[in-house]
Amino acid sequence: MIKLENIQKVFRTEEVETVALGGVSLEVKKGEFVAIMGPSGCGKSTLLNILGLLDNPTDGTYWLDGEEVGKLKESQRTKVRKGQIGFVFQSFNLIDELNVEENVELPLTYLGVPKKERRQRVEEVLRRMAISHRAHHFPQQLSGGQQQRVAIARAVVMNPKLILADEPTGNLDSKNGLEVMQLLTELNQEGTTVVMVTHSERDAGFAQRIINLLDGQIVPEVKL
Amino acid sequence: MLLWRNFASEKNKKNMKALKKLNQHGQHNWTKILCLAIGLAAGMVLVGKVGFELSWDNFFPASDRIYVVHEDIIRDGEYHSYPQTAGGVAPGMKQYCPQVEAATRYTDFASHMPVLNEEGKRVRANFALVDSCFFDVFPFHVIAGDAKKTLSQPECCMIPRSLAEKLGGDIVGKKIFYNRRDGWALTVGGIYEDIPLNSRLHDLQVMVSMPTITRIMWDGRDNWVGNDRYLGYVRLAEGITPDDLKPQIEKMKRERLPLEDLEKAGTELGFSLTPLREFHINDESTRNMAWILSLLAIVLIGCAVLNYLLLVVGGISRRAREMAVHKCYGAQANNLYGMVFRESSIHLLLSLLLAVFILWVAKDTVEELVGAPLMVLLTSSLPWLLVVIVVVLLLTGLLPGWLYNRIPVATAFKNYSQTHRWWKLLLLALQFAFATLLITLLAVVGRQYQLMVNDSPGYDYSTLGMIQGDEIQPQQRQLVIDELRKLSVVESVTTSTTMLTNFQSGDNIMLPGEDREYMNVADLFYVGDGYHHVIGIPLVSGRTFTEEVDTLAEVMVSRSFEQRMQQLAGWDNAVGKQIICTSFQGPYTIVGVYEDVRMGSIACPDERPSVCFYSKKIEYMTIVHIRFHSMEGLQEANELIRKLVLDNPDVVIYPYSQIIAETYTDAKRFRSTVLIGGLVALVIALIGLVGYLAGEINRRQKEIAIRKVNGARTAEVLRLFLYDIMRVAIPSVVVGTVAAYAVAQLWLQQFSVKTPLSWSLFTCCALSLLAVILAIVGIGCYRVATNNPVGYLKNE
Repeated sequence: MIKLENIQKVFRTEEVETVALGGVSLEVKKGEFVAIMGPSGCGKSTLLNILGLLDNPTDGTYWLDGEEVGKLKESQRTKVRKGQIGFVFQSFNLIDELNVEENVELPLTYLGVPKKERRQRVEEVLRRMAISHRAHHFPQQLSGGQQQRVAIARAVVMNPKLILADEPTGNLDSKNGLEVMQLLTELNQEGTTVVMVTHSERDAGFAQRIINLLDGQIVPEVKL
Repeated sequence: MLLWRNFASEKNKKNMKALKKLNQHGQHNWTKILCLAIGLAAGMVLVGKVGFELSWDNFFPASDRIYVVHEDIIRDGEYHSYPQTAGGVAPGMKQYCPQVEAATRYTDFASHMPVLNEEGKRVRANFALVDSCFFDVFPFHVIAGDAKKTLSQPECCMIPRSLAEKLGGDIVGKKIFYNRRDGWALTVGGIYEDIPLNSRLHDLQVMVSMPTITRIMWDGRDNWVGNDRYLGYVRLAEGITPDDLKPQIEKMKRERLPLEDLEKAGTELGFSLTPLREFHINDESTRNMAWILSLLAIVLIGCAVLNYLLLVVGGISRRAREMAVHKCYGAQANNLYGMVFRESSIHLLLSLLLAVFILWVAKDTVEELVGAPLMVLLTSSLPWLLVVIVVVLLLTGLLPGWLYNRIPVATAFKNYSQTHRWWKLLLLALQFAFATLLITLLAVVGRQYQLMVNDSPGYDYSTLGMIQGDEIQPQQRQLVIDELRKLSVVESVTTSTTMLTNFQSGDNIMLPGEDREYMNVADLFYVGDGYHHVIGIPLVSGRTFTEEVDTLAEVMVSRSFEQRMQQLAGWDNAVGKQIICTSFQGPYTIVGVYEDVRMGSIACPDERPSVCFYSKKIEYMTIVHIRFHSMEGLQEANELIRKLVLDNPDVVIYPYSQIIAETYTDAKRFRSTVLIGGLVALVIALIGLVGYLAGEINRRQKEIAIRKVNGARTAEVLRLFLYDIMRVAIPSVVVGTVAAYAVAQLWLQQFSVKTPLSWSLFTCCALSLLAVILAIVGIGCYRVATNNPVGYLKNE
């Protein structure tokens, strides 16, 4: 599903050039659950941004579902991203002015899903995430664990092929963190590919494979 | 139907979401709306005023084919074109030029005079003699009566609807009376719809039929040379230009004008046509005013929009993450543009509603300022206002959308902290420049107004009062004068036919036995005993008029008259010389020369040499002048007038200072407009500054804390911010000052006496503004500079 060949990402300012990724090559198969680990500043989030088409690599090739997507423009990336990739962030990134239902509905709106169907799908996913009773609450009225469940609901409501999670338990206590990991595992078991960036050995333990990054490069793969 | 309902419900939902965002933290939406509303309210009035000025006389059918008849005179090589002609010219054009579909002329003869109905109800109105072709040229709606027939018969008149309502409504066929209950009567033959304010013809009210002229003045309606008091208009056939009429006009001149006599007099006379639509806006003062008000409107609306954008840019880092989430889940550029545009539209809509509310609350003040009803202003300039609204919407809707679209998603999630500082500083700089322009201009306008009101016209008017004498019956007028003279508070009393504050009638000067016309002079007509002494006009040579000698064949002239005749006729001095004056014939002997004093106003000066004649006939003397020992005597004199003039309670002595101040109403209005504009621009700019500071303090609080921990004192922390702002404020204030200088120079062109544009004035304004900015920055940053740095570091 994902194939990266010699991906490089260099951030340049007027005086400094920082190599975030220095020739990363990897492959993620459909239905896999992969964890990316490494110390702070090793390029995990940069790699996840490139995988999620939020950023372009400076060099190298990125194939997503057989299509080369590494050199697309912002508008083209948005089109590819739309409906295919769900994102789960450490800081949830829910929109404060929208309630739970509206936050979850957001991707479907951009996909042009009819209102009736949107409502059905949102109800369904909220029920599945055990957050239906909070449908009309706003993010600030929820606990961290509830907020992350809403974020996961938003990520899966459009049935994406790929879920990218950036330290999804980073802001949660262990109980809530465990629940989130169980949800991601469930989704993976239903066929969704999951790529997760984490610092946590425990969370990485839920993945089928761990990719370790160090100074922008992959160190030998660990198969669990 | 279902699709539409779904679509409509989707739109409503999006609008509701946009509405919910009004209270979004960190976006200062209500501040944005308030500033935009204030700027729009002031800007819309100015745009309305400019639109109103541009819309003059272009609203009725075929107005593009109506032309004002001009009389063009070349005398001593000098060309002058006057929009007034002799009575025969306009009808002559219809007679000679088949391309002229209709022609009319009218002449005013009384303004703001009392008019009474049969029951004695009294209102004031303007009177003009109007010929029967008026409604052929101008298609104003005739509500009742036959206009053509009415204006063809003597002692008949047409009146506007508003006047008819004041006089009792059902007034057709009834009589109205000029000035007094026993004054001459006119039969109301019809009623016409009020002529809109934005028309050169608006001042027409009681249209008295032209055949009535013999009762009112010398009958010059078919005259071809002299008595140039008629305003003539022609309507040309479609596709005809004034140039097409030239051969016929030449023929008309050959057959109707005494060309040989005119040539001997050194005068060349011709006629031309000016489009009525362009007449008002081609006036220099109107053009200047429209130009400057447009600039003010742009500055004010610009300030408000810049402030809006400044606040948007200030809140961009807070909102970047939200936009990134939208992008993550499939929002494309057009979705973000749509979202921001919808929010901006709601902000603009609320701002407009608030602006309308502000205008409604301040309606009376605004109308006083602009000199026209608000509704008339706004409706006559609707297309311009729509353009303004669309431009504001595009700027406030598209630019933020563009900014949000530029932020890469990945960057937004990495705690987006790009400050857009240069953007903010640029917007702030523009606001400072705009505010400086208006505040400095305000200082110039204020000084010019003070100069106009206080500038000496050449005589001391501080203890002078006047009565509009024609409101008192002639036989009673003499009694009033005699009784006033007896009052101890009164020093002296005199009379005249005109006020010096008016632009005077003109007359041509010839010498006995010569055909040559030497010059055109301002004719002050008749003055009474001791006129120059009472008014305080210094005598240069000779003597003034006195009752003791036969002054009926005598004339007094101004110093500039004498100087001109020294150049033109080789006179050494004027006293003892004889002249012929068009309106008075003569010859008259010059008995005295008086100092030139200001006639008209500084804004509209009559700079011609002048002459005046003596008369004992009280009926000619429509103005009574009273010199008081001090103006404290005014009340006593007014009490006497009330006792003596029982039939007209409106008769009152006005202080000259009031009359002179009233001649500068336009300048006063302009001053007030700039005052409000300047304050609005300053307030908006300062709100922008406060917003900018809040953002900067938030952004730099960690830096400040670290500096403080390392020993920075309060003054040093303050200096950080002051240096930052002053780098922008000083160049902006300089640019605004230079712009204000340019605009002030343009504005002052219209005045004969100008306030000096001294560097000290501009420096004072610039320094004052910088002081205000410094104070705001100082106050705004003092708290963060003195707070415990630990608190900020803890937050980090």
